[in-house]
Amino acid sequence: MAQSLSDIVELETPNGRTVRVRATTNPRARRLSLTIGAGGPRVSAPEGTHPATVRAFLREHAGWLQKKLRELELTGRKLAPPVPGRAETFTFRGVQLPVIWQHDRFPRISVAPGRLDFALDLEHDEALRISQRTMRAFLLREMRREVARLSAYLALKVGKQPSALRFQPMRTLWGSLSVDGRMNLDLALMLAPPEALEYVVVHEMSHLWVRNHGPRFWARVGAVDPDFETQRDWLNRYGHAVKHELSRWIGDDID
Amino acid sequence: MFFRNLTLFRFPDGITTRFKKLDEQLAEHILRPCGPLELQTRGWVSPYGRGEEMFSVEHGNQALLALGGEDKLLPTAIINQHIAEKVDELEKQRGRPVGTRERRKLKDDALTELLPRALARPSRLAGYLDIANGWVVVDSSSRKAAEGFISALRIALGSFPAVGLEPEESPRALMTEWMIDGKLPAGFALGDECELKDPSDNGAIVRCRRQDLAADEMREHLSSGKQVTQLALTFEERMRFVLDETLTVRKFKLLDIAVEQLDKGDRDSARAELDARFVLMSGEVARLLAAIETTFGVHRPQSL
Repeated sequence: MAQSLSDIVELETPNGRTVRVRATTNPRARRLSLTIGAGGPRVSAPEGTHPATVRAFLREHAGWLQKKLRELELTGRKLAPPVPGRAETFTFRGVQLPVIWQHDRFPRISVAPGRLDFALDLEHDEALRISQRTMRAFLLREMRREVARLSAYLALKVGKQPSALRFQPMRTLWGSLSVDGRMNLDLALMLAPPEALEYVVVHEMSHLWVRNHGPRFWARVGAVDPDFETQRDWLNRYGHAVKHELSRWIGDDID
Repeated sequence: MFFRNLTLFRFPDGITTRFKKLDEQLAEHILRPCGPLELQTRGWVSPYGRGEEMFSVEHGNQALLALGGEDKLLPTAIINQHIAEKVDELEKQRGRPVGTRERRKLKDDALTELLPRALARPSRLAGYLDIANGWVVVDSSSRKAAEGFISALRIALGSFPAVGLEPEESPRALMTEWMIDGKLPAGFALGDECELKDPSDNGAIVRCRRQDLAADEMREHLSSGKQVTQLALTFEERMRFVLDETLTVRKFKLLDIAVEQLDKGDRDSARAELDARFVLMSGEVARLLAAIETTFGVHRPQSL
């Protein structure tokens, strides 16, 4: 990601609070955008934008920012990345598990009944970065195991199989299917309930027959997963929370 | 003829009848020389070499094939120089610069003029089908070249549902565990080469050769969260290779203990020599593939 500049802009919200917003420029950006991610509020601007324009944009949207931050506080959603060693929970496959930190030279994550064991060198200078790499590797491993089995089983119902599987964090999508049948899935689906993951896999595999979202496509999805509407609603309602939790744990370097 | 690299594909059970006329089907798609305006051609050649008629060498359930190719050698620098000379000439004649559209036409003309004069480089890519167990093994570490082999096979057979490997167990995670714990599945032992990667985007990469993989400096990398993406291994003390995260086998070499039975034989023709080597190699590779299948959960696809 070619981000050339990162600055902190202080913004006063209508209720008199001062909020620190991270300002970045991005050569690929076409317009100004204000988002709230794992690292807090961030404004992204095209290269060459005058700082006064950025400040004016922020002042214009200060009300929105205040409202969103208030909502996040109410839902108890944390913005800062988890600190290794400090009490935390992690939602794995729809179940919120307490994270049990253990001191070990080699980083490793394993799921035990009712808890998530997270071993790493807690005194390492880069403990946070190591924990992010380890979480990413853990989720990739679990997802591969789950989806390889699931897609082989669903192939019997759907009648076709994807030619390859790829997993990565995605900003807005849950999955996609390439022209040559490669299925890409969002890593955040490992945090969602298993039924939601299954729905996304059925959805993408149904695209092997129908490449659009017309009635024929939904009929195919419904034939394999009659409960798909519940799962689709779940993703629409809680999806952003799942994506947010993932980016908290693996860092903000989502493509 | 021992393979140096193994790129692997799997195909489902229940299509074995398609291979009954393999030799005749391949014979319909043999390699032909590059035409004057063609950049490349691909086609089947005999694994025994030039002048032979057999296009698949079958031993038991294994069939050895060879995909031949001719690629025209026409470096971009030569095309560019040719265009630049023409442009200079035209600009001198007309006294004004040559436009983009005309430049594009000049490029097409240059290709038409230079292609018939270009030399054609011959190539040969071997591979074999393990029909009983549903594997295709291509002697290349390049995914693109191996996919080209499968595409050519698909054209010859009409259809061929071979797919790349999609293991259940992440090779990265397993190989990292092997290096940390030093405990490997039965038959495998660590070699002296590896590649470690930081799994975050644009993360650091460490490559080592002739390195004790249990040494403390390597463990330091692993403790900082790097993962193993390539690992040198030996299998049953009979072969050594480097396994990568896509389960492509690189630098494959049969060790003396496996090859020694070959030296005892007394074969008088090149054909008999190739047969003996192929039988030996495919037998050894079959054991490795069975171990890869169970270790990484690379199941044979189902017939749909």
